[in-house]
Amino acid sequence: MTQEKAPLLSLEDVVFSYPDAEPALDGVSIAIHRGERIAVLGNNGAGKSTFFLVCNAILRPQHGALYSDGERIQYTKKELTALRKKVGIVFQDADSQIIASTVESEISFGPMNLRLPREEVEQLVDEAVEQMDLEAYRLRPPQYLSGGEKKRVSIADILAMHPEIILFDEPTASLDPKNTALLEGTLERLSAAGITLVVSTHDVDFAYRFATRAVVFSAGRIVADAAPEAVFSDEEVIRTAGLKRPILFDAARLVQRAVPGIDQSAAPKTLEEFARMLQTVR
Amino acid sequence: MEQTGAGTHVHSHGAKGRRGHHHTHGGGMLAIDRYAQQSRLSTVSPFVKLAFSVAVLLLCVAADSAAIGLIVSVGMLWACLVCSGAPARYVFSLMTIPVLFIVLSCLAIVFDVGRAPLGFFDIPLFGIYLSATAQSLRDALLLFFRAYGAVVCLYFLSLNTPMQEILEVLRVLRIPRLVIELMYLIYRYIFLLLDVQNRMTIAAQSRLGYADRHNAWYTFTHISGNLLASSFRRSGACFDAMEARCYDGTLRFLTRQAPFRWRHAIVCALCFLLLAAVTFVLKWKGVDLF
Repeated sequence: MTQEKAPLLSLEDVVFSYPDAEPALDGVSIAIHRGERIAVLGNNGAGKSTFFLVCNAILRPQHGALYSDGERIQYTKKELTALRKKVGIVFQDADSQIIASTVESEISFGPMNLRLPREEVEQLVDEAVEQMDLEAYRLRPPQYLSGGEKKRVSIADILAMHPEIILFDEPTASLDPKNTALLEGTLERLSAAGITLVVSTHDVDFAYRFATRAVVFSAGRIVADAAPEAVFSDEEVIRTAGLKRPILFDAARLVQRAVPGIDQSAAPKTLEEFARMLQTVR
Repeated sequence: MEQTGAGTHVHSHGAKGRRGHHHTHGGGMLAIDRYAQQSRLSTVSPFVKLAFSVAVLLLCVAADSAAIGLIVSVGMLWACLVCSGAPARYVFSLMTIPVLFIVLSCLAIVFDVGRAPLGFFDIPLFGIYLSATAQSLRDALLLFFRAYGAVVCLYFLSLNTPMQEILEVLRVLRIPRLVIELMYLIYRYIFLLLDVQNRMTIAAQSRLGYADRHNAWYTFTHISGNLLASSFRRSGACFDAMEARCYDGTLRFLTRQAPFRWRHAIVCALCFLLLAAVTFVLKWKGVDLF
């Protein structure tokens, strides 16, 4: 991936505080490039959700700047529409996101707001419905769907706007294991389709498997921003951010320490990779 | 079949069906809207439905006749039962809500204030009398049937037309945008509020918050106080989510509006004309219920 081009989205020294509170973001700088899969880690209240809202210009920082393709956002109406089309947020609580009374009109809300002609809206909705496998629910009221189905609707909501980046705010927080696995599959597909993904999560095992880059927030600052292997090897970061290490990461280390002759540089992220590492002994 | 979202819903749908319509769901819409989606009249253009309901409503109010009020109430109730997807029990429970309100206002009309006991039923009160005369009773009953008929017309509309379609029609009819947006947002946020209240009540019940009357009052006041704060937070989150999808002050949805069909319009017009003819005959002959 060449990165001579300006980053898709970047923040420069962003400070944001809610009224009468400590800054929720305290000097955050980050550049997000096309095709990345970023896991955003950090405990509750570290600033992850605020970071997302700033990325979409829902919140306007008191200090610092937001750039889209290298252009500084001036917060004009036109720019905001373009930015929000480009950057979609899938909110943690699907119930707060869903506003219409059929799945179809719910998904159409974004494209309709972009003032596209009716035929185009219909086509975008059709695509999103197909991508998220919602055909059977099209005319159903989304409020009455199950948690996993609602999540799919809330993702289709965003896909219908053809975003370049999707920010997922704790997507697995209220999903059962089956739906979590489904969601991971969805993320893989989106990433393969060229959409840049930024996912905030508390599930370090998932983050380790999924991400090409891990960004750790703590008390409104970014305390680490590197490849997941590097971030999880950093004891200092793990301690300050209150994280725990992925189980496969720890397991691999234990085995590497105990078994001489094993591939010491391997960093297995899935059970299959772990098994492959074990086979290097013989 | 309905399913309950893991973790997000406190209430099961089964419980809801049993206890009536006032139990809502996570961020849910009114059950009435869900039934409207399943209405047998979903293939009828919302314009036709709105025109028909409003025309019958106006006739019912303008006829100034208890008999017509009764005919409209019974006829529209029957139409609700036959056409809407809602179960009969739900329709009847909806229909009982306005009765209380209308009866209360009719009571005020039944009783006249006078210096002498002139009615068939008089309540002495500090030297004057609250008396119910035959005339005032007749007035009150007339009002009751007129008002009830009008309410049932509106029920017919909302049991057969989803909120979004009504909004579309209002938009075409050039109702001010602000009014339409407010209607929809209030409609939506009421359910958020009810949902938050529902969750807090359940959480309080599980901690014996309603164990006795004293406790219940204490819990009730605290829940009311917290309700404001937490629904405020929740509505903030909803608004953020709307803005993230480029909401700019005008709600726009893709609606699948049933096209206008002459067949529907003619059936509606015939029903209306029949009712108008009955009204005319009754008025001409001077026949009424009392």
